[in-house]
Amino acid sequence: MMSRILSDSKKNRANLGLYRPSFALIVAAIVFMFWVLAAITARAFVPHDPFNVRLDAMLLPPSAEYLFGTDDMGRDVFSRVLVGSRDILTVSFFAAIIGTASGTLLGLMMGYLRGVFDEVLSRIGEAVISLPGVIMALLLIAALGRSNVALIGVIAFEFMWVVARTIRAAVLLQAEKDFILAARARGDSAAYVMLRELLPNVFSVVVVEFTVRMTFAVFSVANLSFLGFGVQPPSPDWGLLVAQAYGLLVAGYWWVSLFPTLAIASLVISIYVIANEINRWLSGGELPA
Amino acid sequence: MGTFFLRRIGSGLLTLLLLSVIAFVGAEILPGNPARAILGNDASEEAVAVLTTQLGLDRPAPLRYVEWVGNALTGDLGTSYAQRMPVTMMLGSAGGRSASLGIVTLFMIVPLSIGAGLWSARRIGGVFDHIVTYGGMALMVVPSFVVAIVLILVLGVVFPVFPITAMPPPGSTFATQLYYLLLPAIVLSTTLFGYLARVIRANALDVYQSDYVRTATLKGITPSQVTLRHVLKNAMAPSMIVIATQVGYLLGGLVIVEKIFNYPGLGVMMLRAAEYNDMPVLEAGVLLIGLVYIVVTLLADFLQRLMDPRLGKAVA
Amino acid sequence: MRSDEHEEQIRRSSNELQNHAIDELRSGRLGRRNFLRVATTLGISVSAAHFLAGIPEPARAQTAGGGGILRLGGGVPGQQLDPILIQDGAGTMAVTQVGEYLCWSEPETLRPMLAESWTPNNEGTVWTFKIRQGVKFNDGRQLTARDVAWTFNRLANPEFPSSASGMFANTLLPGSVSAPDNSTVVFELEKPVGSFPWLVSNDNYNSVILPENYDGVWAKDWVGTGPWRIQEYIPGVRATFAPNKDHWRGAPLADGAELSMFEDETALLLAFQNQSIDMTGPVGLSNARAILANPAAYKIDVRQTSVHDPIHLRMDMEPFKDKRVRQAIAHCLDREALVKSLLMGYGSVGNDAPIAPVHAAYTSDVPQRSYDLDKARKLLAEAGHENGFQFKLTVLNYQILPQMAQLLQSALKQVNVQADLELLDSAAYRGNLRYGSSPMLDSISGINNYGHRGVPNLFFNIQLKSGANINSARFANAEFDTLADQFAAEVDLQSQRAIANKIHNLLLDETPMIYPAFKNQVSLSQNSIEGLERQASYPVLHKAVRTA
Repeated sequence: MMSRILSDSKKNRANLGLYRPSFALIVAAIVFMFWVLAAITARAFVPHDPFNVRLDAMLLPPSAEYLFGTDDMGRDVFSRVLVGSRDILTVSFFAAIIGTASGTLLGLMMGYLRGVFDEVLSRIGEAVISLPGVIMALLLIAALGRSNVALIGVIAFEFMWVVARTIRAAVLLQAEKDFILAARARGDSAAYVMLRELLPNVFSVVVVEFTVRMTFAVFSVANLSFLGFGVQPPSPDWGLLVAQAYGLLVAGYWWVSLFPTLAIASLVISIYVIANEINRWLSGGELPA
Repeated sequence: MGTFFLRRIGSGLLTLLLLSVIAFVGAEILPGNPARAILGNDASEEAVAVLTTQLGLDRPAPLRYVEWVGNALTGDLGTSYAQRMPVTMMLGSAGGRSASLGIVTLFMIVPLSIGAGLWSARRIGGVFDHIVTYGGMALMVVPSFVVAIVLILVLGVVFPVFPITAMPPPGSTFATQLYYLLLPAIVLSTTLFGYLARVIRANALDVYQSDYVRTATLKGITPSQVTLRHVLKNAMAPSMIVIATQVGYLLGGLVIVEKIFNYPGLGVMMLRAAEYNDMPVLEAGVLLIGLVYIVVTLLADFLQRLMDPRLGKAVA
Repeated sequence: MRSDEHEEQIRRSSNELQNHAIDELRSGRLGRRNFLRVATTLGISVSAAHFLAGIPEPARAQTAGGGGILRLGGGVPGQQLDPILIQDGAGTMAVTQVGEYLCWSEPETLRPMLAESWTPNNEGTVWTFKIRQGVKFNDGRQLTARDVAWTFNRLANPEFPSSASGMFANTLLPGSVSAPDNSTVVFELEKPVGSFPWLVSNDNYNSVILPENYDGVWAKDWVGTGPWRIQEYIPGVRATFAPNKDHWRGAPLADGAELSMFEDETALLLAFQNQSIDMTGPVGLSNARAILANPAAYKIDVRQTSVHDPIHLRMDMEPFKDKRVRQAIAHCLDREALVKSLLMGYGSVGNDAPIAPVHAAYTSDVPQRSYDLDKARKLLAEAGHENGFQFKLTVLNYQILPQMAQLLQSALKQVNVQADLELLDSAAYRGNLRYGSSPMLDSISGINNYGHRGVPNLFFNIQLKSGANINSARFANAEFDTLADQFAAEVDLQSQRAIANKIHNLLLDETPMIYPAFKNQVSLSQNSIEGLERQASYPVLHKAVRTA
């Protein structure tokens, strides 16, 4: 991305000192771990069944029994928000890991093999990237049908091209180095050079890329669920909860949409802070947006 | 330099061509039959068949693609299936509204981020610096609808100072129209504010620490004069570039913001087109958004290159 | 004039079918409210029908003076604005400000509009409509019977791409509508249809009367006979109207009208709440919750309708081949709670047949399907499913359908049945509406939405008859088919009810589809608006003014 150039140029600038890493990281790690734990275990200990429809308890404001109130189907918002962390984390994780893995492979091949292969794929990648993720999803999800698997596929597809571009650029910086030239001279196979020689040398870029993708995966899942292309009801997915409830906001039923909204914000910010820290350790730079 | 420009334009055109394939195939594989979508459940099979022929949908897809691209080159983007009016007309009015929102957003974000960036650069590590840095970062990664919900709740419901729909009543004055666009523009601004403010801040730091400014200070020019004269001047170009590189982000946010604030712009038009199987509109919308992205990125590239030719080497 | 003399006079000018209806009223076999519906369908005038039923005729709005611009709020039409293509409320709302029908359907009567009166022959196969004279299209042309005949001959052509092209199938052939003189239109039907006038009313919203041979772009000219003419139309955003001073009911009272189109109903209702919209068409209940909670602050217009969201169960697929399983599922739906909470009381429980309380043929003596999980468990056990099963429920993503699906899903869980939901937008849900390539038709179970029809036979024809267009349940029952045909042909209400009763019991037992509830339509206007009329639920602004 062009922004990378800017951040690269910033890298040289001394002493950006943007925030106190240790404190921010600790808070972020706690928040993130909280949501991961909730995703794994919340089903077992939430005070109410998050799926149980109780039409006699609709839209109750927050109280001791219903900490975050109830939604328009009488379900406990607190339980739903806790349990709702599962889908977004699962989908985001798989989308980020698949997108990063496939993008890394693609980027290695493009950067190492060069030539027509690189040229063609670079153009395709550019075309894909020139479309906002929401629009791409709108085209693909409608065709694939709405499911978590389709969601993972679409986000991973989008990510693959972004990651490939970054990895390709990193590979290009390595390709002319002596150990690569030596490996070539030895007659090592392309696959061997890419996986054994190049990959370890760009691995820190891959890790950073994964953490960044994780941030954007959460961002995308939330957005797409909000638009109705993401996680499907009756999942208490956060984006979905907000989409179903923001119409109630003006009627004064703020709790139904506010709590999932805050949950999304806390998760995505915590992952971003962690990603930023990892990036600092590994490459000493700030993350682009 | 000249060849670089030509090469970039060439690859931009190629990207656009590939994008047209993506748009066409994407619209083509949408589930549902456009003729049936237009006529609804009560229409007879015969009527649907007649309309399918009238729309030309019974002909092979590759042929339709070639025709579509051919017509698009002459400026004819076809006719909307659902609305039966020229797509260019729909695109024009929806695009115009999105552009207005975009422009209001830019007019808001540029001074805000420059101000915040410069101010925080003056007191590195100060309270304001922290607020801008953390707040900006948080806003940057949080989905637009999250920001929108909070703002609607605070500024539209609890303290109802802003209208929460973006479309002003008919016959509104320019000022009223602007007023209606403010809240959505604020939401859109948040996606870029943090990033832009940080770039401005880093830039300002550079300038503050440059020999040039130190000399100026020694000559007795006050810090605020320095800020105004030099830092501001030096901050404009990078902020333009940052905005340009992030335009995809802005366009994506547009879909969500338009939906929440009920604003009939490009994003809403495309969501509808996908829902109603309106392939020509969807295809043209994808193409237009891609075109905007490609052109703006291209301009950013050129601008950057002109400012600092050394940077070109970083781009392979 | 003494009242029996008046009745005698009405009887003398009535034909056999009309007199029969009056006999039914007098013998007490036909309730007074139902008589209104039947009598006006058969062409007895609205005032005569009210006189005979002994119900005072509701005063039509009388407001004088006043002016200003009336502000309507609606949705964005999904289709091009053209009378023959509209399918949704947003399109109907826009088109009906300018276009008019032969008659309009009110909760209890059919009211003459461009037709002054109508009469069937004694078999109900030939319907003769008298067309109002002195009506002008807004392009200056006079309305004649030829325009009406042309309008319907075109709609009856199954090959003509209109949204209504299936409505007249097997009933009205193209060319069988004629105009023997300037004021008379004769419809010759293929078979008797006792409720035919409903098919040429706004119930069939594509039947706006257009000038003969009209082939312009309607969204540009907005040709029609209605009280408004178009001033400016920004597609999908706004339409502004000027009064049609030549309207047959006289010029509208207000100075003008404008219709703002809202992409999102939430936004529309917000605009209504902050008084920037004067009135709306029917609105979604869950979105309007805040407004409905404050009934004194607004005028809330409630109309009983036959709008419903049936749940189909594929009878040709396991586990729904067994009717006990279908009945069990039906017992798991808490309809009382659904009406009370999801519909906020604006509706009535359904009883697993598309016969709504608003239909004249409805009888209340069919036992109501209960919400009974024990019974459901028992039925499932008898069918060998005591351990439950899993199936996919495909839901049209519209209004409260997803919530209803979740209500059912939550209850099914208690009888060990797991329903996996899939939500689809309309185009995706419909597919191309052919068996084999449409989730609406092919899913093992699904929830669909049907708009209001004044008579139930239209639902029988489209949902339930063997080989029907949208027979999602694959219901194929010879006895039902015969009964449905008999029902449609019958013009006598008592016989209609007897048949409807048989049909109802048959469907309740077979349960090809679950009919959860019939929804009322709720539409809104500000307290400051006086004289507002509605056609179905859509605002008619002819006599409306803003006071205060």
